[in-house]
Amino acid sequence: MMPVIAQHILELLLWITVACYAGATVFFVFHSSFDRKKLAGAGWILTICGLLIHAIAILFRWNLVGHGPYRTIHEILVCDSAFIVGAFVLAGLQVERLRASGVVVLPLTLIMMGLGMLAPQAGAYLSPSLKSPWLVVHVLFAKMTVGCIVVATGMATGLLLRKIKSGRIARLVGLFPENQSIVDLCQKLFQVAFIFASLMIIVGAIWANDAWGRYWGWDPIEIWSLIVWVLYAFILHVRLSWRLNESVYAWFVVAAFVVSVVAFFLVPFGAESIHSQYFE
Amino acid sequence: MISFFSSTRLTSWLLVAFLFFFVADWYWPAFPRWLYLLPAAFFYANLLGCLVTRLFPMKKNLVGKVGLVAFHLGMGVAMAGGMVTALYRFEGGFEVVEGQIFSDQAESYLYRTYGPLWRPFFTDEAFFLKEILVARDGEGNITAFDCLVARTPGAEVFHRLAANRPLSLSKGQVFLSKHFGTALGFKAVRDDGAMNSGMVNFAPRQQKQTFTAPGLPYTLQVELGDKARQEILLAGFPGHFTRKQALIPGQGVRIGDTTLIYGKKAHWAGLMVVRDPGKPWVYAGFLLFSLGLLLYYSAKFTRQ
Repeated sequence: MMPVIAQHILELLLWITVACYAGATVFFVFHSSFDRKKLAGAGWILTICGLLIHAIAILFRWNLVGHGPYRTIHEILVCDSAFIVGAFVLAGLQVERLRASGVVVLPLTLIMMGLGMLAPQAGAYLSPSLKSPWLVVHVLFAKMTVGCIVVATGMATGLLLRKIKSGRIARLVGLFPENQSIVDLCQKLFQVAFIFASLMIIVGAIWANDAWGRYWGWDPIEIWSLIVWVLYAFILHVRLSWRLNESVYAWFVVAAFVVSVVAFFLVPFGAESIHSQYFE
Repeated sequence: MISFFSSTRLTSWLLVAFLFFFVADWYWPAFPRWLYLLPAAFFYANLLGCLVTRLFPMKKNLVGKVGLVAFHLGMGVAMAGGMVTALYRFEGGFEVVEGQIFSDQAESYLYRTYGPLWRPFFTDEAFFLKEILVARDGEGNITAFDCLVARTPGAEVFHRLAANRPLSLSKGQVFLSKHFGTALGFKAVRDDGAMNSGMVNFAPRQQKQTFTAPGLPYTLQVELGDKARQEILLAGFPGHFTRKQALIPGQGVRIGDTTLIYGKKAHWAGLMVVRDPGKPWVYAGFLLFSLGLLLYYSAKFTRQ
């Protein structure tokens, strides 16, 4: 049981994070609509402040409940949203025009945060087989994969929304890079996501062998991790082999995002699996 | 022909085939896994074709190319290992309870449990469980869970089996799980003299468990209580046995025309027998894959 005062502090930290992300979203939207650079700068600063407070909240909870953010739906959604913003900030630091994807990435993060904060926030019991350093590494790679995919989806959505030629949405996506640059950036993000997904599977296999005496068991979660891995590999190869229309490629990215949501969020909580005891 | 097998377009189609197969495998429990061999055969031909046509000339970016080859080969080797595992892996296990003694050496406990299934792999190397032991510290906590195992019929050379001391057979390994759970023994004696007994197993660190009492139509809830007194808390559901009662070993509780007696508390661990000739290949593939990644990206960063 968490002390009441600690629960209040945690809640306050999460609400400040939400306020920062919401404020940043407003600034990014106004920046896209009125093309005012100062607004984008304010949005960027708020995003970074929000991410720092978000990270503090996650570490604070980790310290309180005695295990990392991988046990309950609240922990998973709140932590994954931090990794998405983290990937967005890292990508934005590398390529400034990527910051335009904030108008898609941040609202998506807010929805995840909201769902996470509505879920029961009590800590959960961690079984001995879970107390392994392999778990932390395995989960870390999974969350980094999700972060990259969401940022790539943000860019791809911007590309798809470009088809709307007039009105607010047209102004909103006007600041996104050119279509070709978006496709190149998505491809790079998918390369990184593919590597993280590969390492997630490898580390998971080593850990499974240590805990259960076998590295692979065709469990639903294992099969779905393989499905997303093959899908990412497909997207990387399809770009090399076919001269795909940019919009078709963007649709592939959105499809990969949908499949990733199923694999990372729906299957663990819905399917009957040996992993089910790890998710509450 | 060469251009067909060396095209990334074929790779994309093969990946789609794999995707389709994985989804079918998840959705359809009776999915025939030998079907994976079909895209896998094309995959290896494609991998070979791509490597041969893209690797040369080697003059430019040698390290990066070697990294890319190692990375793809690693995947191929891991996949081959996975197929060997799928075709030849064998595993079985059961729970062994503290204090269990096996006197019958003529027929192995494992053979009795699993019958001929084990024979193709272990006929020449049968092993027999002799006794299940536990070691405790001063406070009564279990520090180790051991099994005394004899390797061949009639042999008096024993192997002390533990989580970190597996018994290696030429075609497999026998080991105990690292974590152990709790087992509670119950006996139900009816007024007409009929007697039933049963066990309730708790997973490692599990505190509460629901069970159907032996010989009784009641679903009860049992909770591990005071450790020193080996006490448990027994509770029922509305309409049945509605009390909540603490019991120590040997104590009973009256439910209808039956006395349910809490016998003893013991610990159990999982004993596993595994044979997996594909595992070393999978691990070698992982290693090659990681090495390839390292080389590829180090070459990329060096060039930048």
